[in-house]
Amino acid sequence: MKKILRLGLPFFAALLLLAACKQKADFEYYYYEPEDYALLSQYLNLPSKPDNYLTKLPKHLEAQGLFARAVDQDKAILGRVLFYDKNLSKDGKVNCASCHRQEIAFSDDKPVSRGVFDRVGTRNSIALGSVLNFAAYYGTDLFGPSGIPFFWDNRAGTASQQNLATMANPLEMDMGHNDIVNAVRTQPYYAPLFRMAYGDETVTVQRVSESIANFINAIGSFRSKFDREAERTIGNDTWSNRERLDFAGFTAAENRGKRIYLDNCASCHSPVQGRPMKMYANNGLDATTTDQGVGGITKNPFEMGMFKVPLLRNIALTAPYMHDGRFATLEEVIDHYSTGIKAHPNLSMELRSGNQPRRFNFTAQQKSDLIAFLHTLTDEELLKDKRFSNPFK
Amino acid sequence: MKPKILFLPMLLLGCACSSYYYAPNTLQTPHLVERHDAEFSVGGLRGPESSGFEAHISYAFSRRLALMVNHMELRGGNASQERWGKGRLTEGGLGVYFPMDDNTSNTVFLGWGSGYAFHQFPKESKAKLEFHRYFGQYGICVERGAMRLGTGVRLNYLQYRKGWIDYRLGEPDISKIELIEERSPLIFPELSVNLGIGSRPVWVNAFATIMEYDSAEELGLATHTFGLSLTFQVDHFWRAERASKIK
Repeated sequence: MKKILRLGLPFFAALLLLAACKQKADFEYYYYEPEDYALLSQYLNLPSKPDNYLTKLPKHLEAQGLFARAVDQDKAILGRVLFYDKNLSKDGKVNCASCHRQEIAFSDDKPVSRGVFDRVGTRNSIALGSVLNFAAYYGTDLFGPSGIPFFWDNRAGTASQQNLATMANPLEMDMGHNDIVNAVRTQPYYAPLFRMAYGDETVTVQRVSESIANFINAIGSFRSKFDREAERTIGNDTWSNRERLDFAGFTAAENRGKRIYLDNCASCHSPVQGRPMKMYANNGLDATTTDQGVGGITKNPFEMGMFKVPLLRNIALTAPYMHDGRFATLEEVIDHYSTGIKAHPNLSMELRSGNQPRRFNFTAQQKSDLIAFLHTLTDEELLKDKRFSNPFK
Repeated sequence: MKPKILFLPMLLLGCACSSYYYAPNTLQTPHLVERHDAEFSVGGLRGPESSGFEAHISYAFSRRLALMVNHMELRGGNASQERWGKGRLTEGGLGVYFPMDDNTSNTVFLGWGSGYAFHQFPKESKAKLEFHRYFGQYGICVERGAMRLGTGVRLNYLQYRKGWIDYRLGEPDISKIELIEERSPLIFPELSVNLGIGSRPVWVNAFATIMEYDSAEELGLATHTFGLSLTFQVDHFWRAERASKIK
């Protein structure tokens, strides 16, 4: 028996070890049916293994209670194709990306956007890359209509409402619901994508808008130099105003600019670019306003001339600025706040000094420092993120 | 002399919210004291968002050596739901036992088993992972009157081998599965406690098993299971029969 114990067990153990000998897992992943992928590949550059649209926000943002809900991957993939499909416009020349160009943080470089047949719009295109992540707060399809709404005048409660309104706008894509459905139905590459997203090939305008909304909700900017430094310096500490500490990775000018920003701008635009502190405001662009913004929708006299307060992520890329694109450069924007604020009945309290418009009177050095800081909000990764790029060949 | 059982391995499965790709099986500590001690256990167990049953057999086939076989099945959710899962593990082991006295038994087992975890997600997307598990475990079991206490520690070498994953199942599970593929094989310990009441040849046991792996949540590994079982010391029956024949 002892012999058995002495020889048998070690032998058994050796056998087990041999059998267990490091062998890597061999997993097979599948997504598209081969014939579907062959069809899609005729028109689209979609990876055989689909993109991951899971978003993990940095700690300093999660600590603020912001988090990105996972979007539906299949719908986001379909939404990406729809976002870039020019067939969804009356003249076949405009897509969502025409006014939301990835290389400039999904903004437009024109003061006001141009739509089908070169029709001129009325407002500047809001940069999708200006926000942390639509699903974190703007993404109200996921949270219901209680989140921060869309458009400069906040007239759309969800990303679906927003994209449907845009497609229907005669100055943008000029597509009625039936036009949208017909345009999608006639493209062969949508059948497999709808099956993946919805289980069948039925095209409805609701499905189209929901898919685009899922794609939009997946877009987010949170990998800027500012975010890297904020995550390192602030981390989970939301109580100690650690954003006021100098960031080790910032230059002296960037840190000075950050202090100027926190002292003068953050009360509206958010200290850490997480959630805007105000949903809308009048920032004294004009003493009298023709475009009434939020007030034009609500008819509330105390909201006339007020517009959405955007986050400033990627602000260095998204010129021109303001709802009407009147400022071509950041210098012009800062000059406005420095000495150009006009008296308006609904002028934001932060921009008032008594009954008069406030004069920040930034020095040249301060302006330069502030601009240096604003450049740290650029998220280079977003600009070249293939998941959000044009999939068409 | 009495035998007692063993442990069980396991696998895992899923549910309505989170999906798990492994869960610790009950590590039961057999009470083996002499040759021909044998034990059979059957019980139900629960893990995070899953439940199932286990069955165990152990048998001391010589004065020092024993065999064990374990089987476990778990299920989370049900097939009528969009998300559900199931898992299975069957394993065997060879070991030695060292009785300290008639009431206390030490055991050491080495074993191997295989199983799978299967999940179905919305849109009928599925994921099935097959794995092998190698393990070594030490256990001690003490019987005193109407009480029995067993505790043990097991070192696992969990090797995921094959997987068939429909990418449409989406996040966060795709990330969990990719991480499992990247990190497999996983090595981690488990600790189990088993408290029984009764008297020979039947015990009613409450047990709990926990596993320790830093990235358990990230990989979708359940960290604990617990449950109730019935243990039958089957050697009691044939020994009683033999004794009556001798008389």
